[in-house]
Amino acid sequence: MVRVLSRRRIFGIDWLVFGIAVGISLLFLLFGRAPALQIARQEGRDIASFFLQPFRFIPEMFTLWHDNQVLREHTMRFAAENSRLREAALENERLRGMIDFRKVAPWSLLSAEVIGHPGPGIGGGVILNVGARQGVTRNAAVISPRGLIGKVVRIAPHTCLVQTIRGKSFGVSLTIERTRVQGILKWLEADVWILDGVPTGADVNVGDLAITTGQGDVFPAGIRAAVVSELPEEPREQFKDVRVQPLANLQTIEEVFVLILEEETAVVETDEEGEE
Amino acid sequence: MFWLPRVGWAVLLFLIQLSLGGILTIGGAKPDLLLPFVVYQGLRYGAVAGTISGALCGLALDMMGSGPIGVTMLALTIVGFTVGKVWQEGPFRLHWPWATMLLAGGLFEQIIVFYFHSRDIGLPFGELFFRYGIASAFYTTVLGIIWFLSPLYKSK
Repeated sequence: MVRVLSRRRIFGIDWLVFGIAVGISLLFLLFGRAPALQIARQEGRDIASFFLQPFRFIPEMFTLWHDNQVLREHTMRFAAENSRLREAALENERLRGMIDFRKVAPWSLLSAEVIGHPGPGIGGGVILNVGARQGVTRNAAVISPRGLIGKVVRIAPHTCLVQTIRGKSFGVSLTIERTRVQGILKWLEADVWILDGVPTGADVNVGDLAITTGQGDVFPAGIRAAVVSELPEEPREQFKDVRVQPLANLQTIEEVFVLILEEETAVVETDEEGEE
Repeated sequence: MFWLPRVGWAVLLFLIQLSLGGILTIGGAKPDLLLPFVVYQGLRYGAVAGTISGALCGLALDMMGSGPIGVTMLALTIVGFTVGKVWQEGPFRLHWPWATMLLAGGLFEQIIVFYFHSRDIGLPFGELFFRYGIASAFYTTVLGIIWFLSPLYKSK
């Protein structure tokens, strides 16, 4: 660690300077409370403060950085809160719509929530949180305030499986509200539905509303189901496939109604995926 | 005018100490950026330079601080003088003079400063020194070593 050298003893100016410096510092220590020294200290601070002006941006940058971090955290928190509030507002709007719909609907309606979306292997199905205990029957129609959803195909005590109109083996008899032209609602592929069996010369226009006919025993007449979105350019000889778009958004349904039939005879046990 | 660059460095470090001292403080440990300058003066230019630089830097710090005037001046004066004296005329050679002198000088400075501060504010010296003084001395030493590794440092 250390290497010993030859000793030298020199007393010179360095000791003198050291003595003077120590003496001055001791004098300051002894008389440091003197008013003159305090005034000088204040003046010194003022002068230093002037020269420190250009350096102020450095701590201010750290302060700004810290403030920025805090503001970012607040922004994230407020964004999450805003999202929750927006979700609540949308839910409120949906529920208000459902309440209004319940008032005008002529059927006995049972409110239900979608609690599951079975995999695509079994078609467009959703699981509701109501079942036999709540009065749900097989083939009961399921609708939303916007329009037709599907029908109940399986029932459990507290849940039920709904086959939506998004399925190839599922057909609903509809009629164009304006001209009473009838056809069968069929799903072809993703986001593509047609109104099959519409006569070539039938009066159908884009934007026409299609409602259920009431034929069969599942869907009562008058349920809004779809709107005509596109007409075929080259119709077949006798019929034309009119493209329609369901009114209910099947991708985002959360709250629905199950139509409760009062007469048991109205329920017809048909094949689960058969046509109406 | 050979001393002009030294004064420039001292003023720069002094201003940095005043402006960034609060930011550099970690857990109550506050580095003394002027101590490495004083030690450097003592090592490179001898006891007289160390003494003068220590006295002036210490006085400047005392004038800006809130403690008794003359405390830091006394501490840095003794450190600058001792470093120059030991390095030039001491009976032994240190293998790591820069780090060793910095640490020893830092601890001595903290002892002196906290001794007078503890008397001034009425708190026990041991508690202040062991809680903040030792950490500040090591902190200053680490910063000094960083300076030593930087191109600004010229070994003697």
